[in-house]
Amino acid sequence: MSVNVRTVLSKVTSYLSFFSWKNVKAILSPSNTTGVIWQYFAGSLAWLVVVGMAAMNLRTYLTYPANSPQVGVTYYSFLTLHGWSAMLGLVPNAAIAVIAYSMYKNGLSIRRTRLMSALFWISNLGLLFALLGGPDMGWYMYPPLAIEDNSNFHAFLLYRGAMIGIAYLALALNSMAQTIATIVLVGDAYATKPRGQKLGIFAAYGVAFAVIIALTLPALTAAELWYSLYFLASVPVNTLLWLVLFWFYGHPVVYYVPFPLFGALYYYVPKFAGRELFSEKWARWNIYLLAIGSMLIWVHHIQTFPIPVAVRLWINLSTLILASGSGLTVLNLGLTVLLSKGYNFRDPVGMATLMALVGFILGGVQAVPLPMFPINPIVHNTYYVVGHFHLVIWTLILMGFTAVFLDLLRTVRPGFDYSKQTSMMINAGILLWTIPFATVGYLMSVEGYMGMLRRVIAYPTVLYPYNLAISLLAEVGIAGIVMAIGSALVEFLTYSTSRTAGVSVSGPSIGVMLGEGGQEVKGVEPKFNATLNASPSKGVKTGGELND
Amino acid sequence: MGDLKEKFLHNAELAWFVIMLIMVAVFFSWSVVQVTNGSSTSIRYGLPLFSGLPPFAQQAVINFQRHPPANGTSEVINGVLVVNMTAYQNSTFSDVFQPNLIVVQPNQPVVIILNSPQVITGFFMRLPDGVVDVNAIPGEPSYVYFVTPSQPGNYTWSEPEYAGYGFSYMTGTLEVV
Repeated sequence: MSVNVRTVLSKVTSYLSFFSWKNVKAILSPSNTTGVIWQYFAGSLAWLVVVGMAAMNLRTYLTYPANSPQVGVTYYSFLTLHGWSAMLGLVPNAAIAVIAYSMYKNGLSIRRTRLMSALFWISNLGLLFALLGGPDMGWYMYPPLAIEDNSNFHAFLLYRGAMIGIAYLALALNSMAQTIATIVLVGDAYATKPRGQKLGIFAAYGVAFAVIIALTLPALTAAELWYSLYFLASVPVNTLLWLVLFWFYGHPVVYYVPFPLFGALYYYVPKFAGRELFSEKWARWNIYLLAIGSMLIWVHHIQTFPIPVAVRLWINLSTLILASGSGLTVLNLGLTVLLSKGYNFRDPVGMATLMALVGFILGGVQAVPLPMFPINPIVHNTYYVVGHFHLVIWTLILMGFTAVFLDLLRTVRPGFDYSKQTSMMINAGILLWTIPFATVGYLMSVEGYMGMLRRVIAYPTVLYPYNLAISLLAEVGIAGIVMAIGSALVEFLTYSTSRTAGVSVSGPSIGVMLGEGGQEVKGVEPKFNATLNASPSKGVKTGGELND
Repeated sequence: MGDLKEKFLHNAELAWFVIMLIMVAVFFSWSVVQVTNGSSTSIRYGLPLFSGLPPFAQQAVINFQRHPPANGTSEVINGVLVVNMTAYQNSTFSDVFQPNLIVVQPNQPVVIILNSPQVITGFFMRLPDGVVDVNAIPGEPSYVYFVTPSQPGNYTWSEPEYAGYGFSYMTGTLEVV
């Protein structure tokens, strides 16, 4: 009995040692590249939980077609929580995590790890401070509603006057810190890149779009500072100019994660297809099309506003440039898969990558008619648009992010790989997520075409079955992503090195996760690509992948 | 010729990439020519600009603004009903659109001058022949043009922009008699 107690105490002590100051410090302020990657991935997952919970609250309200205006205060608070957590929290954190991981996979390092960590805390605490004020103006923060504080509307439920100005200042710090983080990544990529060697395709996309983030995110900072100055220094806000400033950031932000993920798709798809990428040159030239298109396409968000005709004409060209770049991505990856002898979708990373590609096609098709002048006014301001961009977020962004995250788990812990049973669980979760949410995206677009306006809390009863089905399918889909990521995390956290090395080191080991105690382990991954459709090997290889 | 073919095949990736760019340029140019000639849909379609109105509707608006009607809100000028509408935000979400009832004849051209002095608002209405969907910002009127349905009946317009907690209930009625 005493032996058992001693054993239990020993185990408990062992687990509590995880929370030692050394480990806590390693988590809060990591000193190496993998630690920073973990930090930003963890931040992304934390915001993802908030985004999902807020969304389910919204979907619950929408199962009733005639919510009273009094519901509006609660509904729009959750709507803003959902939007800000997604666009100001999840998206930038995930983008930085994926870009940092793309560098790591190519043997590049983050030199200024403490600075990256400090920027992580500044940006996320800034957002948290603003959220604590109970904002309810929606993530677009359109003026004058977002700076209104009177008997008709309160932009923040808890903050008043100068406090609103400080909240917007905190948001400006949030976006400013994220901008600096991407500049740091670009600088460190340049500093640690071996001279004379070409960047791998994953890192090339990652670093290129870190530059795009650094060029477009300051527009949001400027817009937020403008609001702050309105409250703190009575600087007037021009509505149309503010909208232009916001959408200069607001359109590219939807590409912050997808474009680095395109690099991931170019990296993973050939591996799981067991052949080379159909055209690496296309993939590299495409960076220019996507970069130019994403930065100049913002006008189509204000097509129902009184904008100059010449500006409107411009979106025709910029949209075509972006569409050609996106189409080329699909063609390149599609031909790589179709011309292969078989695609290894049994591997969880392979499955998540494939679903991200399929999701991008499904969501992209919805976007094609949007910039067309005769069609846009029919669906602008409706759930058609909501369905499109959410479908891209659910499939390309979240599935691509999941693929990278699953690979991260497999890479940072030498010898670790998913068992056959866990792989099946993850794959089932991926399908359980993707199929319902692809359906939800199209249902939203159909009801939008039928006249369901975005953000409403009351709608015609003819749309009730659509909203009921959307809410139900969303509940089902969330179980899918929890199953996929949860299964992977459980196996990762309960993994014992004794399985492969014959040495028992049980329990979570932050040192292994963060690559502490010696040389950083870079680009470690199982040789799952060696044999097409073969069971994943437990073998590992080390070293960068500069020549991929 | 053989050399050219050899070079083409050698640089096939570049060639197809350039072909794609040429297709983009051709499609865009064709679109611009069609829009400019008016043989395709107007580039102004959906834009709430004065310049987006048909010429006879523009003239009606000019006459309306030069000689405002006694009621200050609406008048039929040369067969075009011109309505001067203002969307006022209020805490009860009632009577946001002033006027919130427009009575018209079937197949009648209508111009709405939409003013939004407080926050961004809009005008969204599904008609049998299409959708009217515009936004209005403070300090600048937006212009809405449409032809009323041929079938008598009541058609509801809605506020499409988040203009307050109860914007879902900000509506008005087009009564075709």
